[in-house]
Amino acid sequence: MIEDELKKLKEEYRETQVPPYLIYDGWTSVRTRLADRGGWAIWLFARRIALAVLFLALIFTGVVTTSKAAAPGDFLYPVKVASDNLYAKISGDYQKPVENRTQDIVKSSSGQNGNLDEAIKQYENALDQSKTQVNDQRSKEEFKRTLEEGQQQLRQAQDENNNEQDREKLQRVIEKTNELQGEIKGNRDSHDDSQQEENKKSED
Amino acid sequence: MEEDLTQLIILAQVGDRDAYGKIYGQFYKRIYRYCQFNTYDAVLAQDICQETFVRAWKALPTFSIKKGGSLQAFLFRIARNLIIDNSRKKKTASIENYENLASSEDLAENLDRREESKKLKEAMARLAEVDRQIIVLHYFEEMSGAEIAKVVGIREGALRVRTHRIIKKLKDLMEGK
Repeated sequence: MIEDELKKLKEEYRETQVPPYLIYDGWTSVRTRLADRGGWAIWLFARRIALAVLFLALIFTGVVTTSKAAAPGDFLYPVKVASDNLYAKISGDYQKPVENRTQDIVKSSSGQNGNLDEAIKQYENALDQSKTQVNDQRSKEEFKRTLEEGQQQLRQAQDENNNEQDREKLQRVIEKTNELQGEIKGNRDSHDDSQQEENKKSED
Repeated sequence: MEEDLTQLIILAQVGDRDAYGKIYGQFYKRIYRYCQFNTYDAVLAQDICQETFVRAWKALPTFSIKKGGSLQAFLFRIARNLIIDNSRKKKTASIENYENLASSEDLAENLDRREESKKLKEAMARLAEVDRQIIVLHYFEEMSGAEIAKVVGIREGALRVRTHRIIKKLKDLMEGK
C-alpha cells in the first residue's frame, strides 16, 4: 500500500513545473556567475594526472622488480624477458638478454627452478634479436665473446645434467650458438679480407 | 550518454563553460524539483538550484570520475547542503521547518487531494531530514544506493537497512501509531 502511495507521490513530484526563467535564462544567468578557473584548477588537474602517472610508474617498477626473480614458465617471466629486451633497446647492450637467458637455461637445467623448454625458447629468441642488432665490428667481437662464455656454461650445464632428453635439448642450443658464432666469425673474416685488400691497393 | 557526460565533465573540469552548459541542461530540472520539494518555495528553489550549479563549477576540479564519482550525487549533495544552510540562515520554508509546513492547512490544501496521499506527505514531513532525503532520492529520483549514500553521507551497507526501517516508520505514521 505504501509503495503505491509512494508511486503516486513520485508522479506528482516528477510533474513539478520548472519556472520559465530557469528554462530560458537559467544557464545564461549561471554562466555570468561562473568564476574563472585560475591556474590552481589547472594545476590541480595536472597534479592529479601526475599522481596517476607516478602511481602507474610505481606499479610498473614493482612488477618489473618482482619479475627479476621469475623463472622460465612463471607468470612474470614474460615481463622479465620484455624488460631485458627493453633495456637492450634503450642501452644498445644486446648481449645482456643473451647472457640472462643463458643463465636461465643453466638454472633450469640444474633443476634449481624454471622450465627448460621455455628457457631455451627465450634464449633462441634473444639470439635471433641480438644477431640482427649487432652491426659494428666491436660489437661483433663482444657478442662473439659473450657467445663463447655462454657456450661454456651451456656445456657445463649439459655435463651436469643426467636427463638424456635435456642433454639433447642443450646440445641443440649449443649447436645453434656455435652456428651463430660461425656466422659472426665469417662476417669478421670477410671484413678482414676486404680490409686487407684495401690496404694492399693503397700500398700499390 | 554516459560517455558523453564523462567527456563533458572532463572538459568542464579544465574550464570549458559550454561543456558545463550542457551539463546544466541535463540536470537543472531535477535539481530544481528536488529543491522545490524540499523548500516548497518556487523562488527559493530556483535560487538554490542556480547556486548549486555555481558552487558545483567551483568544486568540479576536485570531482573524480575514476574514484566512482557520480555527478548527480555530487550535484544533489551540494543542493542538499544549500537547502540546509538556507534553512539555518532564514527561518523560512525549508527542510528544517518542513514538518510545520506539511502539517499546515495551506500545504494540505495545496498538495493533498486524497486522504492517503495527505497521510503519506504528513508522515514524510515527520521523518528526520536524512530519512526524508533517502526516500526522495530512492523512490522519486531513482538513484542507486551508492549515490544516495554519497548525497546523505552514510555508508551504503547501512543504507539498505535504514531504508527498510524508514518505510516501516512511514507505515506506522500513516496508520497513526
